[in-house]
Parts: sequence; C-alpha cells; structure tokens
Amino acid sequence: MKPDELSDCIGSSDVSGEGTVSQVKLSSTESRSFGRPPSPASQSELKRRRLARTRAAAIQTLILAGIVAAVLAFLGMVWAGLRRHGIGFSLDFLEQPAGFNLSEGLTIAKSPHGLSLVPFNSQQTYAQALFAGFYNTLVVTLISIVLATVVGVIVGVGRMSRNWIVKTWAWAFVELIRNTPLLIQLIFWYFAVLLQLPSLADASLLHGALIASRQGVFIPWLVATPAFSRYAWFAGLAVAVFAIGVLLRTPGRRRAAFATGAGILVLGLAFAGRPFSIDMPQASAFSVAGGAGFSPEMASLIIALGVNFAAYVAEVVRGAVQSIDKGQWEAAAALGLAHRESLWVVVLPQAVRVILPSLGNLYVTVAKSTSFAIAIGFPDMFSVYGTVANQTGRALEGIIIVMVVYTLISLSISAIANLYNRHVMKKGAR
Amino acid sequence: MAMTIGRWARHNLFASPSSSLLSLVSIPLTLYVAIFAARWVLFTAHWSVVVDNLAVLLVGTFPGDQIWRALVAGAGLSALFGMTLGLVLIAKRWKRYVVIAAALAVAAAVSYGMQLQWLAGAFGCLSIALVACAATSRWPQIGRGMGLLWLLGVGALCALLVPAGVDRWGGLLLSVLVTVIATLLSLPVGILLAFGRNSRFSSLRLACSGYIELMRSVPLVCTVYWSWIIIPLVFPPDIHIPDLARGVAGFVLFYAAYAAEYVRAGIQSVPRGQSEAAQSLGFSKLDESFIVVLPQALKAVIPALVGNVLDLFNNVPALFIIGLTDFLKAGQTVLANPQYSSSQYEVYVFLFAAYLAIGSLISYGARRIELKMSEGAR
Repeated sequence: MKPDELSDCIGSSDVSGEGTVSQVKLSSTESRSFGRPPSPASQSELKRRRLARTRAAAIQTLILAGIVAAVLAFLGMVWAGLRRHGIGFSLDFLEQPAGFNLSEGLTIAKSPHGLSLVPFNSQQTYAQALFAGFYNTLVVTLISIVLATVVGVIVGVGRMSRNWIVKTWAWAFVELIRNTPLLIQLIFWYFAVLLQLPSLADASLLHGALIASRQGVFIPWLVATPAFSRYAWFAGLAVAVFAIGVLLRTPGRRRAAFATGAGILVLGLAFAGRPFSIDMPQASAFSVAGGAGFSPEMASLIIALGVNFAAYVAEVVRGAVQSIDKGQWEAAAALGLAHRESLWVVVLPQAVRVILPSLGNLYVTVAKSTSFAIAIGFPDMFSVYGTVANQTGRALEGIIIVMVVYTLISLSISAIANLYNRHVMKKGAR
Repeated sequence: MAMTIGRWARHNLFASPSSSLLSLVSIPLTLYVAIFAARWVLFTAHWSVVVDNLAVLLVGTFPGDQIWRALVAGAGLSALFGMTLGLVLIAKRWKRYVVIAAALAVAAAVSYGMQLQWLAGAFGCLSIALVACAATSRWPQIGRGMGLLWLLGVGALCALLVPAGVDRWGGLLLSVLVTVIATLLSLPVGILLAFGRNSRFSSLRLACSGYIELMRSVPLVCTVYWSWIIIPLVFPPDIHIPDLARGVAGFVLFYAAYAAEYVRAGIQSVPRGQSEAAQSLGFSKLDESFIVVLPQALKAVIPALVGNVLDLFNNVPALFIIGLTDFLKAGQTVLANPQYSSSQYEVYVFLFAAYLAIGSLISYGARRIELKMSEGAR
C-alpha cells in the first residue's frame, strides 16, 4: 500500500497534524474574514439569515437522523440474520478454555504475584489465545518497523548515490518490491527460502554466530551476568543523569551531563563487572541452546515485511531529499563539504521533517499488513481469531474484537508519530 | 558531445575512491548474479510446469466447454487496457506498436498451430491490447469517454462470464476482474465520501471522516472477511450471493476510504476562486461540486488514483482468506500437486514476472499521466 503517496498529496489528515491541516484551517479562517462585512443588515437580511440558520439546523438533524437510522437498520438486519441462523451475539466464549495450542506467543495469566506473561497453553481461555496473537502481532510489527527503517534509509541513500551500479541496484530493488504483491513476497520468503534452508545439524553462517535453518533463525543475544544487579545501580544513576541532561536547556551543560552519564556507565564496568555477556546460539541435532531464536514463520514474516516496507521507506527518503532546496546542496558544496557529507549533515536532517509524517503512515500499514501472517500459519492476532472462530462459531464477535484492536494499534502508532513529529517541528522552528 | 565509455565509467563508477571501491565490489557481484540468473532461466529451470498449467494460472477452474467466454473477456479487457494506455503513451510511436502487435499476432498463430492454445490466447490478447493502444494514441478522440466505456465494457464482460458460474472464476482473469470492478465501484463511493468529509454539515462530516479513518486503520484482510460474514446475514435467506461478490464488497468498502482521501486532496487543490466563481454565476451547491470542482479535482489526482489501482491489484491475493483462487492462489494450487512440488521456483518466478510486468505497466502509466499533466499545466 502506498500511504507515503497518500500523505504526500494530502499532507495526511491523521499523522502529520501540522503541515497541510493547519494550512487548511488557516485558509478557512481567511475566507471567513474576507466574507460578508459585519454591516448593520436590514430587517429582511436578518430574517433571511435566521431562516437559513434554521434550515441548516433542520438539515443537520435530518442527516443525523438518517445516519442513525441507517446504522440501526443495518444492525437490525444483522440481528435478524443472526437469529435466522440460530446464532446469538455474546462474548461468553472468551471465558471458555481454548483447547488448542499456539506454536509461539506469550499471554497474560494470573500468577502468585499478580499478572505475568507466560507461554500460551491449551488450558487457557480464548481471550488469552487472542492476547497471545496480539502479542505476536506487536512483536512482529516492532521488529519489522525497525528493520524496514534501517534498510529503507540505506536503500534510499543508495538510490541517490553517484555510483551508477549502486543506484541501479537500489532502483531495481524498489521497483521489484513495489510492483509485486506483499503476499507473494511473504509466501516466497517462507516456502521458497526459509523452508529450503539446511536442517539444524548443518546450518551455520558467520562462524556460528548466525544459525539459519529450516527449524528457525537464531542470532546471538545478550544475557545478564551475576554482576548485573550490581551494575544496575550504576545504570540507574546514569539514566538519572541522562534525564537531567535532556531537561537542561543550554547545549554546553547538556553535553556535560551526557558525558558524565557515559562516564558513570564506564566506571560501572570497572567496578561492578560486565552486566551482560553475549550468548551464542549452540546447535545440537534437534534444538538450539542460547541466543535468540525466531521460528521460520516469524522470521519470514519479519523479513518479508521489513524488505517490502524498506522499499517504501526508500522512496519516502528519496522524495524528501529531492524536496529539499537545491540551494542547500550548493551552500554545502560552497562550504567545501563533499557530496556524502552534504547529504548526511546538511540535507538529510532537514529531510527528516518531511519524512516523518509519511513514515508514521507506513508504520500503520506495517501493523496492518501483519494480518497476512495467516497465509503462512504464523499465529498473529488475525490467524488466532481464525482458529477461534472455527472452533466456537463466533465469527462476528471475534472479527469485531480484532478490528477494534487493530484500530487501537493504528491510532496509537499515529498518535506516537504525531507527538514525535510535533517535537521535531518545534525543535526545527527555534 | 559524445560520451565515450571510458569517460562515462570515470564519471559514474570511479568518481571518488569510495565509489571506486563500491564499483570494484559491486561489478563482479552483479556479473555473478546476472550469469547465475541467466543460466537458471535458460538451462536449469523446467518451464514445462508453467506451460502445462497455464490454464489454471490464467483462468483457474473455469469450465472447459465455456472457455470461449474467458477468452472473449480477456480480449475485451486487453482492448480496454490498451486503449487507456494509448491515451498516455507517446503518440508518435503508434506505428511501432502496430508492428509489435503484428509480430505478436504471428506468434499467436504459430503457437496455435503448435497446439499451445493458452500461449496463443495470451499472445492474441497482448496483440489486441497493442492494436487498441496504437489506435488511441493515433486518434485520441476515440478515448474521449473512457470512463463510461470501462463501465459499460466491464458490465458487458461480467454478463458474459456469469453463465459459466461466478464461483468458477479464477486465476489471472479473476485478479484483473476484481481489480477493475473494485476500482470502478469504489471510486464513486469515494467521491461521495470525500464531498461528505468536506461538507458544511458537521454531522455528515463526522460520519464520513469516522468511516474513512476506521477503514484506514483496519487491515484489508479483516474488511474482506467481515463483509464475507456479514452479507449473508443482511440479505434475505433465499438470495444466494456468491463468495466473489461478498469479497469484492469488502474491497470496495476498504478502497472507497482510500479513494476518498485522494479525491479530498484533489478537492483541496482546486483554487477557491473556482467555487466562488461558480457561486457568483448562481450555480447550486450540487452543481458547483459536481460540475465545477469535481472534474478539476479528479484530474489533479489521477496519478495517485492510478497508484491506488496498482495497490488494489497487489492486494487482490488477500482473497485467499475467503477461499477464492486468484492468480497467486492458482500458483499455489499448482504447487500443491505432488507432481509439480519440486519446481516451485519456476512457478514463483513466473508469478513474480507476471505481477511485475502488470504492476510496472500500471506505475509507468501513472508516471506518464503525471508527466503529461505537468506539460499541460505549463
């Protein structure tokens, strides 16, 4: 999907908040002030205006009544249809035990000390199953967003490279990805790449640091050492100093605070010892110990979404850089900066303000696109819903829950993007 | 100023030390990839799996004795596409299109002679598309009422295809049909929503923007599945509604919201003076919106709307959720056959190539329209 283009031409109603929307408001107030001057109107004119106002109010009421009636009629028809098929509408099924297992995913459960996240098992309820799906959706969304942003910025910069081969590769990547469906990419990654990898016994890349097998992908991860609790004191202190640094106004003091924080972190290393050690994945014949693992489904979903949206991010980055005034490049060149320095130091920081609203829209689309996971059997929220609906027959109730949750996810991503955007705009305005 | 290869390479490959380093790494890599790909395509791959299953890939499980309907529909759709494309292509090149079309027609005849009916049909459709393309690029006045032609043409083609059984439609034909139908239906809804969102009446504005924002924040798969569930509940039990219509309704609901946002952007781009001029000429509010503002608004966002069509086409595979066999699903059905399961790369590469060809054509069209309009504005 191309929310980037959408926001390009609309200025995005929900994400940018700043650009076009405020302009629109401006122009509407403008027109009002240019409208009829508040001259002492004649009696008939007053009467005419009152009449117009009454008519407008009547039309408003009629429209409102029409909308409400249409919605009610629709609900009534659905209700009648449900009755006709002998299905009611209730959310009781959420409390019943699920009786099926999910291949992965954590859910909320009651434990001796409050609520905690535990792996889902078949004794838990349908609600908990849906939560596990929600958890999986969130994890995949977050990792894919990070991956897409990093790869996308690299490809976007590659498209503006002066090196012809790099430029062409980046162009070909973007065209291939954007002109083919996400679903075929996802299916290709899963069936034709991930499932074709060697089995665990003879899979290893980069001298064992990365294990890519058809049982899953495993990467090194950090684990806490015994020194972790001692180090936590230093880390806490450093965080406090950093927080103070963020609040400070003068750049010099802020820099000093950040330096102090970094110093505390280093001191902590000296006094308390290393808080983390790198845990390398160790493969045996059937399982992997250590490291962090992704199932083939999750890995292919993350790769497919990350790679797909990287192409869109690349286009956003390129469009934003092109929108920066040529004079900026020339000024940078006049100051003696090389092409690359001008790009990274002068142009990209300005382009960020153009990029952000589009990126927010893209991130919403990433979250929505995780629902394709059902095609490869990854238990995201929508595919867990599919199983639940199959078992309970509560298709309508379930889809309403799922749609509400997706709406909440989208709205919160938009809200975060909006907040961050406002923050950046404010900083730029100074 | 003739550019020698040496100078070109110095400028584009070895402009700076880091660029040279990149080139030294990327040139061998590119050559390796190119040789590997060429060897695979020409020698290693067994393309027989695609040729044998071309019928499934193109029309799914369409009944064999009704196949002429699918062929006529394919030809009609090709003609419509060709005509539309011809309007935006470079007019001077129409002779070239005719030559290519003739070559394709010969290829179609040859492959028909070799008993490869499907290949013949595909070549024939391409040839028709190119002839139509040449016709409209030579005589643009043919394409004056293209929108109406699309509406009538697709209606006629659907009427032609319905007797074969709506549930039997599949493959590439289904993908294209769903794209076209959903586009044609969602655009008017989107226009109404856009005007609703810009309305003077706050209640209408609220309802329209609520609908648009809701649709834009749920996944397409959800919308399609929801409409698939809800439609049989709403209609009386004695009316049978095919799965396809239930799915397409979801697409229309979903893409109407997106179309509305594009159209709204277009409406906002129309100068205020236009509607003020209409008001001073005594136009009613309705006439002002639909006669003065809308045509200009639509013209401004045609490239974005074409991009939306590409997006729709790329999302048609979501129909798998309600068990329909679109192009991608048809490929997966072929691979589900144990006989062919070993040649999945061939099938996927064919699907990628076909999707890429159609998608690139659509985005090329969008780019051309944008170019043409910026020329006109100058």
